[in-house]
Amino acid sequence: MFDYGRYTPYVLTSYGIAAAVIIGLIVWSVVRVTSAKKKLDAIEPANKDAAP
Amino acid sequence: MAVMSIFANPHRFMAVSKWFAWGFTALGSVVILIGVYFGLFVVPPDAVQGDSARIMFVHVPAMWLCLLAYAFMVGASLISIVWRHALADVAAKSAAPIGAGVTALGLITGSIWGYPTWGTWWEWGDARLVSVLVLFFIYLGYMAIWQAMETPQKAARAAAILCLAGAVNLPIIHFSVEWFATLHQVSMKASNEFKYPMYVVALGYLALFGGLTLLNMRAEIMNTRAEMLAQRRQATAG
Amino acid sequence: MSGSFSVFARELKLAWSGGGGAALPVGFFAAASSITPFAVGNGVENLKVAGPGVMWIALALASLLPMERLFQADLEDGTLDAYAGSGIGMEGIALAKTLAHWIATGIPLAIIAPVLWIMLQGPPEASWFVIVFSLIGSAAFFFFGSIGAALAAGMRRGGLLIALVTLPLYVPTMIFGAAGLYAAASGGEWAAPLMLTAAAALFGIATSSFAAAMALRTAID
Repeated sequence: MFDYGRYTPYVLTSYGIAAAVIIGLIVWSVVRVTSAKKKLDAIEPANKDAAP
Repeated sequence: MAVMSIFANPHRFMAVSKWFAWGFTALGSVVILIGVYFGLFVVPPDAVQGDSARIMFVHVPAMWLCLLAYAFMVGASLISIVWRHALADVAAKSAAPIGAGVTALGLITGSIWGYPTWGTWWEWGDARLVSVLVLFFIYLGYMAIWQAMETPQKAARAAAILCLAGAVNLPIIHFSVEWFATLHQVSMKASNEFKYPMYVVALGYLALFGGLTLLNMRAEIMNTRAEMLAQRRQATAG
Repeated sequence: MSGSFSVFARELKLAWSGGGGAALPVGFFAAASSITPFAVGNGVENLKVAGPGVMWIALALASLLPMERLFQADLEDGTLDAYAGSGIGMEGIALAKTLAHWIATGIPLAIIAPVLWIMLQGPPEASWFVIVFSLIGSAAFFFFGSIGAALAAGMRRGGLLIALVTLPLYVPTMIFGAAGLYAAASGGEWAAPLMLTAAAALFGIATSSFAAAMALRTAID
């Protein structure tokens, strides 16, 4: 599937690191905002069912 | 107190940002995937550099974004210093980790691209490489200030000052390195038919940056509001 | 004007006496330069390659040492608040303090630099260059450092933050100053690096007091 000659490991590693960083940033942000919402809802149940 | 007002009544920002935050995150992710698909499977190898040039599709947009994120932070810091608007502080603080992440991504992918293409993992004589490396340290220093300062208000002021000082310093650093070692001019000559996935990925990165910054701003505001309410509750209960 | 001059005079006296004055940074500068041959090799050729650069780094780090104390004491005992209310202007205060510390510590560093230069097998005839570069460079390092010192004022153990924040600001001075020292050692073109190092220092002197003042005003709030 991936055949880039002698560059294959370089291309794949680069895309792999890009994926890791981007997915990492997304996961970190989503976890942060959902846990913040949980924390706020415990104290202020006003908008509990709204999205975080 | 203008500083506290955004946390006392964040409803307008929270209401407006909700759809943009999640929407841009999802949209950006999809667009990046599309661009990556084009970059890895659709375009034929570049005439000059072969398949190694595919790395540019994730590397170059990362470099664009790292500068854009810092420019965003500079703008927010200026607003913070001049108008003292707390939302600007939250915006700058939220953008920083994302900017730092893509800066690291750009540096690493650039290094990996450099090795098979030009035979070297790093080049101290290249003003862009060195400037971006220094920018990465400025990001780290910026985030350290938010962690280290006693109160968020002091951290916000100090961080804004550092952000602006860094902005002034970066062109000077770029010039200094260029002056010191005009070694090689690395030109990335590739045809436009080859390069288009790069622009797709760039748009995806941009949308993702917007979405993630907004998500982190929402998290920041919710956390601060929760702490404020908890303190108030403790004060009235005691 | 007399107000700022008396502030400056006080700062000079304090900088000279407080904490042994220049002794610690000068000692560090000498020590760091002295262990260089152990790390890079003690042959003349090795030292010609590494000596000037390492000495310049040692000068930068030695200039960083007094930064933690620059504003800390006056912040803690309320003197900064008194200065703020005195009408002199925080920019002038920051300038006066940094200038005083540079005179008390930076000039001694520059004076001892040629001794270390010769120890690291640098050509003795370049000693005047070394003094001039070190005077200008230490001024740049002190004034850029004052920005970090002001940002971290009021923090316990702010030294690490000062270093992290200040080192990016040091990069142009690093590049031009070291280039000048290498040129002085090999008899090459030293005028351009000298001009550029001086430009970096002047830029630091001109702009640092504004950034430091902003940070100090935040710290005393």
